[in-house]
Amino acid sequence: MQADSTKVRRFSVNVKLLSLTFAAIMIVATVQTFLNIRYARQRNQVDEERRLSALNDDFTSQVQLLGKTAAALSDGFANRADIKRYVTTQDRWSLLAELVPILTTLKADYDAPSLYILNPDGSVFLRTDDPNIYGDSFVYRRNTLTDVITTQEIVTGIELDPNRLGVRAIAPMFQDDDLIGLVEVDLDFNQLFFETLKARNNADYAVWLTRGATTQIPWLSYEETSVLSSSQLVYLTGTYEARLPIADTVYDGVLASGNPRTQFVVSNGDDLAVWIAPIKDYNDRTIGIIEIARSRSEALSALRNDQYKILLGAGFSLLLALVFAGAFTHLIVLRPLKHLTAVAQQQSQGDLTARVEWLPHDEFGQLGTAFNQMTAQLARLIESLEQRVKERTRDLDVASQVSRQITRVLDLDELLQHLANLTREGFDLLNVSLFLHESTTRTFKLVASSGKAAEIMLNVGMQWRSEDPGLVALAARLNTLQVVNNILESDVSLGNPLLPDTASEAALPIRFGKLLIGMLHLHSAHTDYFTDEHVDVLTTLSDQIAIALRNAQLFSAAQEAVQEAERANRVKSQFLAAMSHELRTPLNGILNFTRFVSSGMLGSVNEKQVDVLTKVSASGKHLLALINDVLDISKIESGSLSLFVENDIDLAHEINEVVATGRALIENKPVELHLILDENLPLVRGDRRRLRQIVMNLVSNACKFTEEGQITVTARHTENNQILVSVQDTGPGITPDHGESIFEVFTQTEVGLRHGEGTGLGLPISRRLAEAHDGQLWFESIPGQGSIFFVSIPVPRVPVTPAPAAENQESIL
Amino acid sequence: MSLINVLYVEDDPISREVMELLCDLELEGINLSMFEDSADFIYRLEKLPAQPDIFLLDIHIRPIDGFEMLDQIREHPDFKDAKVLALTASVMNEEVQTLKQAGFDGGIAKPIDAVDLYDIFSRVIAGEKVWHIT
Repeated sequence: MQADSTKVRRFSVNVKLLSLTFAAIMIVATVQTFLNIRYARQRNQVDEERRLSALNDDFTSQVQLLGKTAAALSDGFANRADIKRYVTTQDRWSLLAELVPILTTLKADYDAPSLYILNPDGSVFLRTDDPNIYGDSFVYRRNTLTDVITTQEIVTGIELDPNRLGVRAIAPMFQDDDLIGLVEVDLDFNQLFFETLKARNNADYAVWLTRGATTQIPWLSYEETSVLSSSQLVYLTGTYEARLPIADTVYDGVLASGNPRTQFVVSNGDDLAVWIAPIKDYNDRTIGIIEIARSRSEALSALRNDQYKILLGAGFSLLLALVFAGAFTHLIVLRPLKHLTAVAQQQSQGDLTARVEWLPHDEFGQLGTAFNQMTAQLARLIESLEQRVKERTRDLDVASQVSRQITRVLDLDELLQHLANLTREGFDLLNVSLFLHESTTRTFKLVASSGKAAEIMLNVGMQWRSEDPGLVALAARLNTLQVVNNILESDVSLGNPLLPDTASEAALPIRFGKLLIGMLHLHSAHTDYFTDEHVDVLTTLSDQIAIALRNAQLFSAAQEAVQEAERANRVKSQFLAAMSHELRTPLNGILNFTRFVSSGMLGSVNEKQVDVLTKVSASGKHLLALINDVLDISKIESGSLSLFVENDIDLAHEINEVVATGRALIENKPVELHLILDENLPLVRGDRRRLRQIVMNLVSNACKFTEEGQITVTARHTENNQILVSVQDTGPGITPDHGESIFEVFTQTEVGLRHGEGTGLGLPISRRLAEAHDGQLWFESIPGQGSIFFVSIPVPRVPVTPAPAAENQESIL
Repeated sequence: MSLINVLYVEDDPISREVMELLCDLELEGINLSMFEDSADFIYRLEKLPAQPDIFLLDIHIRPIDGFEMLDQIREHPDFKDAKVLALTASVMNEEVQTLKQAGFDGGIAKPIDAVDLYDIFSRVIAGEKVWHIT
């Protein structure tokens, strides 16, 4: 898992580096290619424009040349004397004969040349192409003629008509300054011109005439039409017939401005550069449009080839760059990184001896060096840390063992020896000695020792006083920790002959608060052994020992006290049990024999004797009650009173019986005893005999102290689910200063004492018995009017069902 | 009122005399036999003219104590149905608890209250466990 993730990480570095390089190169190449192509396209357009412009110039100069030729020819003919003569003489046929050879010569160089001799009014004198036609007005040439006739100067310019494209020159013929005729030479554009144009420049062309030019009388339409528009254009000639997808507005613009324009369009998948130029007549009037379309496909395909080359170049550069980048990253970056990673992994697996061994003279070399230094530092740190952790763990382990021993071993001598052993073993000491101070003799006596000299020292019973020489005595004198980390350099250390290997020693006071109670003396075989950290732990240890000593002393004192108490309690219980047993047996005789005698069964007895015997019996019964009460109270006080708990105690029944007994006690007194019981009192859980004892105690007290009036006993089920028994009397009452003291053992009120009856134990016992049943016992009293005692006994939450065989359960109060 | 045969084993002569007088003078319907110790207990028991319905045993008695006597009675085929009561001056709860656990059918504390004795005997014979420890 770890290896995988490491691999992925290494791979991702590689990919990241290469991706970054790739992306950068891609962006540069793309941008450059894009710019190149853009520039090439722009350059191509400029080229095309320039080329087309040149074509136009070519066309214009051809026209001019043609015009000059035509002008020269017409002028030449107009100035020839023979021609003049024939015109003057009107010798048409001679003139024709003269001109035909010339025309034939012209035809060799020009397509359809025309040569006309005109009368001064512009009518035809001789048509060389058709000599039989003459005398017509040739009105379609009127403007030209008018101009020539008016200015009497040669006129030359482009002539367009639906059938031809060419130039026309008309020269005046003078005889003694009189205009005798005109010579018209028409030269068509040589078809060769356009073919050459097409072949040389790979251009198609088209010539468009304005609508006006198509009419038979174009000159008129010029005058009529001030604004030329594309809608008037009519195709005249050219190498293509369909109109190119060029907006009408372009033609309108050219027609209106008279300036040429270049358009770049795509027609039938062909990329075209189109030159649109106006054609002007000799009067500089636009009469048509010449359109030259040059295919750019070749140029563009060349351009595209260039683009491919550029892209290929870019791709190749990219590949090269990638190879170089890969090689570079591998050689310069990844290899050192891999090496570093491998070393780091080795180190992470715990091998801190691993070092970066490949240290080139660059940043990676520096990194490797720094890495090595860091590793070395780390190794040192870990080593020292491990050592410190080991020491600390050991120290704390010893301390915790000591703590455990302190809580476990409570025999002081055993404990101290144990602590000495633990300390020596735990701290790898030569010897550990523990001295306790004996205040009576002011000496420190060895009580526990562990190590080489321990046995001898213990046998000798080593002891010293604080004024003695030596380190431990000095520490005791000063009541502070003393350390000598090299005894050879110390003038305090005495050097124990039993411990010749001692190199350093420490003495620690053991204190209760500030009171010095002992000393801990430690010997080590190593110099500089007692470092600050050691000493801290040892100080804690000496505090622990102090606590242990205190605990042990307290424990032994407490243990003695507990043992003493237990022993006393045992003796008391045994005594009480024996007393009860031993007193009851004679009382059995006393009470029964007295009754036998007083009843007269053993012979007649007089009244005086009966009275005495009754008092004997009463005293016996009192004694028995006293025995019972003392037994009860001692059990209560020792916490050993036990109840025989039954689940189905009918308290009403018990109270009835108690009240019946009570009636006997007031037979001779003017006292009425009332009993008011709720019907259906619930059963309670408790010790039947003890519950009865409580009620009996209250009723007998009331009977005892009430001399006249009434006693009312009630029992009812309260809202908080208790049975509340009350015993109210009209006796002397209890003064506030007695209060709760009547519940104290052997406390009787003055009235009670005067009565000479009772043990003073009844109420304390009753209250404790009530409490043992989770109930309460309390009273209210008005001195002189009487008292009312209450006892509450809780009713079990789950109604008890009378058990057929109530198995007694025991509970300890 | 039917006659109840009672055997009382008691080493204290005063207690024996009290019981004898009680049965003679105050109680009717009790046929009392007494042993002054527990020696040869079963042997002497078998020699009795009438099998006891109720045993009254002192606990602290020699050579065998009340508990041992109880065991011997319980093991004897003739006395399986007999009721055994402890008559003791040891009335502390712990002691009474020991008696209950040992299997006594009841207990009567010294000093004996004559008024209740016949009633206690009747209830015990009827199968009730009666602990009259006051």
